[in-house]
Amino acid sequence: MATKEEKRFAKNFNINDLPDVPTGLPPHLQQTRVVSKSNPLTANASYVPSMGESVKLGNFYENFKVDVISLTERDMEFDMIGIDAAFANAFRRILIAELPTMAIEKVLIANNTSVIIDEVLAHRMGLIPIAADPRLFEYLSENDQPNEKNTIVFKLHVKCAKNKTRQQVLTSDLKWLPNGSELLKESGGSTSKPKTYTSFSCSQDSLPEFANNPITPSDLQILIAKLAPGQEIELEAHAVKGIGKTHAKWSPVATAWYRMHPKVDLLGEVEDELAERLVKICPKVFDIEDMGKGKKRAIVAQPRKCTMSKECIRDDDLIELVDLGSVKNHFIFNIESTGSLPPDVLFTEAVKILEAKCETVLKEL
Amino acid sequence: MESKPEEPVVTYVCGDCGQENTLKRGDVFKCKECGFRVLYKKRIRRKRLIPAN
Repeated sequence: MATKEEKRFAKNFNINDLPDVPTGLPPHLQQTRVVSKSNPLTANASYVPSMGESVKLGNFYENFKVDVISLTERDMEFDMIGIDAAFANAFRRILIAELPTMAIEKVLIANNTSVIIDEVLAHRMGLIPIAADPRLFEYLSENDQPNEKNTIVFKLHVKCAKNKTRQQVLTSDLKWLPNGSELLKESGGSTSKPKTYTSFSCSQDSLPEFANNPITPSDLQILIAKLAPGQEIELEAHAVKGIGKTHAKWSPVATAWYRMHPKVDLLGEVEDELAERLVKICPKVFDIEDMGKGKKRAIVAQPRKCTMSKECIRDDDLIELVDLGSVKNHFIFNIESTGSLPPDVLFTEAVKILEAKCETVLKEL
Repeated sequence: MESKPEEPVVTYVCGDCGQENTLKRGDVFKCKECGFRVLYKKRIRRKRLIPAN
């Protein structure tokens, strides 16, 4: 708390009284305060509501729309209309870095006489996408014991026979071990019971999800290593749950991205020769419309296909007639899954994670 | 109790033909099959735990 003395001092204080302050300065250099002219509420907002509409939840419900353009097992393209860029970006970031997946973390190498050194081989195994629903597993922390609830164990044992030619080691050579690790830890005395690297209390095979569909890598044609005659690889790989933030191997998407829907408008009539030129430059977006009597004009046929290359406005004549921009709040999203979960499930999980983050913030307030 | 005998018996791999040669102390250091004089030691059969980073 400031004392009376201190308050009086502060009231009578003038910066120009201090020693070392130059005197005789022109008035524009004597200013000691900086004032912002812009409105602090809207200065940094990416979406400023126009025409007096407020950003209320009710309005959001009315104006928000999601259109799924295409959906396959691995890829999804969909539109989100009426959402702020901050949310679109938040979903993108969560999809890439905060959705959990299963990926190989520990590689126990018993033998590796291939030309790929141990560390490089282990690194490659970590990047293999695994088709296992991460929601069925728990995280494995430092103090936990690896068990059937938090670890997936694979075995890789390949040997290239002496009379064969160079052999490829593919992801299809990885065998799932539902009963856990088979390697024994080296124990000091011969009397102690041999321990394994994992302690599975029950076989993962018995769980309903894995009963008839074994856990495999998402793609079986991925090349891990090549073996020359006489070379051998024998290892065990343990996969655990993690998120992309820790290491990119745990990212569930090949990538996820969005672009804003292009806004292409013709500011005037583009006719005949000019129209032909415009369509020749960009046949994806523009098209010719016959007006009868031999006259033609250009129309914007498919603005969605615009790649924003700005070729159409390079021409001196066309630059005044074509208006190129983006539709605010209309995002075209693409999600490419690596195989752990289908892309639509990935997105709903991302929404759940954002919800959870909001809950955390609200609780702390 | 001896894990290492007095006369260690080691298997080396020939650099040329890849034949495994078991040699004792005092044996001539060359491949028994092709006579190549460069022999490599086999990789140790110990389990290595490597993080997949």
